[in-house]
Amino acid sequence: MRFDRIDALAFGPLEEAVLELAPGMNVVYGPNEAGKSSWHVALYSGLCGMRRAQGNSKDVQKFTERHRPWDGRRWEVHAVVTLADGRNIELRHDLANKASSVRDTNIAGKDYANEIMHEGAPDGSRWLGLNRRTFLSTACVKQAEILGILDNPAMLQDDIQRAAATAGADSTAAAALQRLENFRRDFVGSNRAPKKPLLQSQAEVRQAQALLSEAEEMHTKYLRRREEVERLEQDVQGTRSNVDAMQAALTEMNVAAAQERLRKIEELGELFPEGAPHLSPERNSLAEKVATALDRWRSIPELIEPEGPTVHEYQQWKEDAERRLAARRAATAEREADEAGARYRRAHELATDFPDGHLPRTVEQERLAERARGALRDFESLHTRSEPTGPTVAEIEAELTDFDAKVNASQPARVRLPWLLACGLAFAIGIVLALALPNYWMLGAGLMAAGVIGGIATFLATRPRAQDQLIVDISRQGILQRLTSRREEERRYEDALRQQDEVRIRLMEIAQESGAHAPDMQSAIEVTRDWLLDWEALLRHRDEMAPKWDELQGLLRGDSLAAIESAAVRLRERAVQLVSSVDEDLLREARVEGIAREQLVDIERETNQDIRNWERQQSDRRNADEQHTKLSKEIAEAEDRLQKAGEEIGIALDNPNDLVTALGEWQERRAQSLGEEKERMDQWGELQNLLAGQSPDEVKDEVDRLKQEAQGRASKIGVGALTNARAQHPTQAKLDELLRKVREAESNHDTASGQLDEYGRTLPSVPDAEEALADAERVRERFTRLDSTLECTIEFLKDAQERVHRDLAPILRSTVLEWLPHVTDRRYVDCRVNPKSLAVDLAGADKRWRNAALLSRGTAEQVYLLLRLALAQHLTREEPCPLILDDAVAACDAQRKEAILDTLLAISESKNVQVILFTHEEDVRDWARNRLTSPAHLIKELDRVPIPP
Amino acid sequence: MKIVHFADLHLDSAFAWIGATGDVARRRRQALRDTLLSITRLVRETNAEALFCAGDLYEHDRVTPDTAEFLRQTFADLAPTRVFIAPGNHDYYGPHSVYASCKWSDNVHIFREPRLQPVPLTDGLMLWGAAHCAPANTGNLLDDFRAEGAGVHIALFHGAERSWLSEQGSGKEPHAPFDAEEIVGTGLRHAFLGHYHRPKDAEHHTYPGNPDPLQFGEDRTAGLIRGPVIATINSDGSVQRERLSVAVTQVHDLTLDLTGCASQQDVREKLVDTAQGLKGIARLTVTGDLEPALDLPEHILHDVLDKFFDTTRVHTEGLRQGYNVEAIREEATVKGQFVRDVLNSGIDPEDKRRILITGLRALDGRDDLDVL
Repeated sequence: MRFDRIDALAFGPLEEAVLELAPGMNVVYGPNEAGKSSWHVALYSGLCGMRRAQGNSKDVQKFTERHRPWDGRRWEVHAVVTLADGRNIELRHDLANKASSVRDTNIAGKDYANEIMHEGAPDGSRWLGLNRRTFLSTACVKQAEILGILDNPAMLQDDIQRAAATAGADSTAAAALQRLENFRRDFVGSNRAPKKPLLQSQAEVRQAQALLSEAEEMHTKYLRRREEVERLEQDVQGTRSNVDAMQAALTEMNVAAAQERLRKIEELGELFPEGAPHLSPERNSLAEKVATALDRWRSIPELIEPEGPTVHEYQQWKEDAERRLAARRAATAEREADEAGARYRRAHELATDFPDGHLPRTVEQERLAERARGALRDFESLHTRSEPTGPTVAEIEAELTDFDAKVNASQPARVRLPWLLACGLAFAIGIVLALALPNYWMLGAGLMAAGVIGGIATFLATRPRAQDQLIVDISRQGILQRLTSRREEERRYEDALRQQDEVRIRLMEIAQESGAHAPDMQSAIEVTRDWLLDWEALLRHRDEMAPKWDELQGLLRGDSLAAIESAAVRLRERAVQLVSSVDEDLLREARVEGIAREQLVDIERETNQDIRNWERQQSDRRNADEQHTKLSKEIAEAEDRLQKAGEEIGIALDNPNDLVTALGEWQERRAQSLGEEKERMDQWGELQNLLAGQSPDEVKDEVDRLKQEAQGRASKIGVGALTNARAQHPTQAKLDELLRKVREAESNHDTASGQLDEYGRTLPSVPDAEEALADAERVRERFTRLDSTLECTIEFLKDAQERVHRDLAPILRSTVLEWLPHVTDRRYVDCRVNPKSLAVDLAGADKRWRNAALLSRGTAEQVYLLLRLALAQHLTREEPCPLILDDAVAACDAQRKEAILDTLLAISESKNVQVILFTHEEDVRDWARNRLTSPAHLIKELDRVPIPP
Repeated sequence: MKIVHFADLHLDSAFAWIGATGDVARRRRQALRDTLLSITRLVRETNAEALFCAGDLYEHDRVTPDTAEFLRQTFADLAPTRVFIAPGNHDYYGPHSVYASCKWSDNVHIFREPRLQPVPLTDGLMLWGAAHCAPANTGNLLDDFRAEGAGVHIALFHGAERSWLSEQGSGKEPHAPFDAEEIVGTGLRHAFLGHYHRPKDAEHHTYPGNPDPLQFGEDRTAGLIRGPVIATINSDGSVQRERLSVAVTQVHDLTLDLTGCASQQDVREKLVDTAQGLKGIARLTVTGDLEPALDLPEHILHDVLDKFFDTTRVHTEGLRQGYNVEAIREEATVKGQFVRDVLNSGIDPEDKRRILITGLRALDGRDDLDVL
């Protein structure tokens, strides 16, 4: 596409102005205030128009403020362009009225507005595949952009990336990605950023879920508790029903009882039509006297005369028995005193045979005799042993020592050892000579042979002989045997001497203990034997005295002779005393009886037992006598009462029994009369009890009331329950038990109900928790969705960037390569473009790569223009895009400026690209005058725009 | 006999569907209670002889002690007017249900069996009712049922009429399903029903619809008002019905076209115009072309909506990106490649829109990357 013509009908300071353009390179020259910038914008506006979408963006507002004519009535610009397909199209933009038309200048009426409609208005850059924003960035090269490249080399790559990303209109893809990543990191967060919204929202969801679970669980518990309270209430109702049934059954029973009561009242009431009965006069005191007299008479037991021995007889028996016993005691004491005297006298007689008071003592002597007999036996068993004769032990040991010395002295070992050492030394020296001194190996070998032969000879010459050794061994063994025998003989001889000495000492001790003096062993033996003979004589005498000793001991019975004498005296005195106090006759009889002490004890026991029996019987008889006397008096008094009572009722009988019979008959008659009266009184009393202060009518009313109550209670419960209650035999106790159960059930229910109320007050709201969870989930969903959106966006953008860069890199390279040698005067002949970063490197003939942004200013500017051209070609696809430069080379020195201009011209000519360069520089104008000679190019010189009035 | 029939009040329901939490949700639950009070007031004002409730009176899994007491007191206050309740799947009868554990006044009759049980209403008019005794799997209550005896027989239960199930939208379960023909076939003259939230006045059965909104988009069905039905049951079994709205909660579906809105102020003004005079709950559907340069976070919309409504939900499915993507996709730039890749991808259109706007904004050098 190329611009053919711009009609600035009213645009900024331009009015009815026309700018014709050539298809090649156009240099529009004009001084300041010549309207170059206005033409620049008019060129853009003529092609792209102005967006007319709803709303009013700041960009449009700013654009309007800057470029709308001052008078504001008209604002219109036209552009005529020729497309690559040959169409010549006029675009008319009435910017003031927001009206546009796009018509083919050749085909009348052909409207292409819809073909290029963008944001509400036709946009000619759409033919290039661009739009109003990207056209500015792609086609228009500003001075600042080139200066920016020079000031900041990194901007070259950034600019290329921006162009690749958004046709230069906005951010680079890398910056956009960074922005997305930053936003995601700051406002969403990753799975490793717990304080960022995404994880926080997830945590809040978990927390809300936990709260909801807790609320649901508590709610379930609440419902269960509620069910439990309901069950307890049913228990209350059940027990109450039982109470009602029991009460109904009890009321029924009360009704039956009341009806029975009423029946009896009515029945008894008929007996007393005139009211309460009147008692007949009664002689109660007389009846009482009769009754008392009879009772008294009847209460007296029968009078029985006492039988058996009298009290006096018992007393006599006791006294006789005591006297007879005393006589027997005295007689017994007398006989015992006689026996004690005889015993003493015999004992006294026997005691004279034992002046020492005992038999000869034998214990110590027996022990001594035993020792003496042992010592004599040992003495007699001693062997006579003579002292050993021949060589002593010391002499034999000396002989053995001499023998060993002689044997050792005859051994050849001491001779053999030095010889063996000398032979070994000779052998060693021979080895050293043979190995170390080869020249003397013969000598060495000789020494070695001499050593070996000498050693063997020495060994054979000095080895011990077996026959000699045997003789030595037998001789030595003989000496040793003699030494052992001598030692044994000496030990036996010494043992015999020691035993003899021991026996001698024992015999001397025995002799000394027997009281004899024995200066030597022989005299000790004789003394000992004599003492043993005396000892045996003493034993024989003792055996002869033993019977008397035994008799004496039998009489003494462990007492002394004086003691039995004293006892005999004491018994005599007591016997005399007893005899003096008893009856003589009885004493004689007792003496005849000859009662022994043992018999007396039995007699005493029997006598005392008899006395105690008589005393008891005597006491019984005494009581019986007293009772008889007392009863006799009572009978007399009772009989008197009977007589008096009989007199009062007119009965006079002497026989008390007849009188009693008559009085009894009188009582029976009276009792019959009283019984009839009592029965009526009882009936009256029963009636009064039944009435209990009520009138019969009141009782009837009560029965009726109870009937109604029973019916009422029965109507409230089922027939089955009532029947069941009746079967339980209702009682008040059972009713009380049921009432207790009701109270217990009510208490349980009240407790559970209270707990339920309390639980209910703290019950969390399930819907609240559900809503909180839903809210948390919404927040989480929002951040999850945002995270997902950002993630997808990043991935799409990265993929797009990678693909575009990959496609763009070879295009940039080929474009740059096409011009690079020419514009750099072959200083650089190769180019490479990084497909990831779009970084551009150049290489010369030396093939050394250099970053294009870091090359010389002129080269960098040239490369930049080439890259812009390549990007424009790439972005605009089929349709060649014009390049519009606004004072783009103003800051360049003359040499660089010319190089750039040459490049632009070359591009224009070779690529069929329209270049429109606005400039105020005269050297550029001059360059154009010189170089733009072809009709395909144009130089346009502008005049100053007049200032409106 | 004149009765008032309602169902599906769903007391203690959660209001997560409107995004409400805290006090806002609690006000909505209070609105449900106020609706019941309006219904009982209607019973008194119309001198109705009975109040029918065909289930889902409350939500078993969420019911609070206070709600139980509220129900008990509300129905007790209605005495001596009789109240008949046929528990549904959300308020099923069970040993730990409010129905079992609450001390109802004598005028309240709760059907407790999963089969129809008779209760005489007047001479010659017998009411048959049944309860759901589990949250699910309640079978056809009209199976093996035959209303016998003289007089007119009507029914009250919670069930799904099969032929109408498909029109109830997704998620509606066929609890206690039955066919409309079975009503007359079993000897019933009319069935007062609950379960479907959409109202229906059929010849032999009535669905009152939920009396207070429980979802967005609960518009009238066939011109019928959702809410209590004042029904006069004639001696021949025919029924005359009158519907009244007692809803306390207002639910609004709003649409905001962002086309032409170049600034947040434009959006605010337009939204104020849309919401003016409204209150309650609102669902805002944002449509139109979102101006590329316009940074419009969602909270901007909520800032305006919160001045009018208790709670709001914003849907953006109808929103289009303001970028001329058809022009951009032709660019030989990274941007063009990006747009082409996204448009050619098979991802969800809404996600596609967000990714496009996010990427284009990033390429434009913008930081408002949290796209509406």
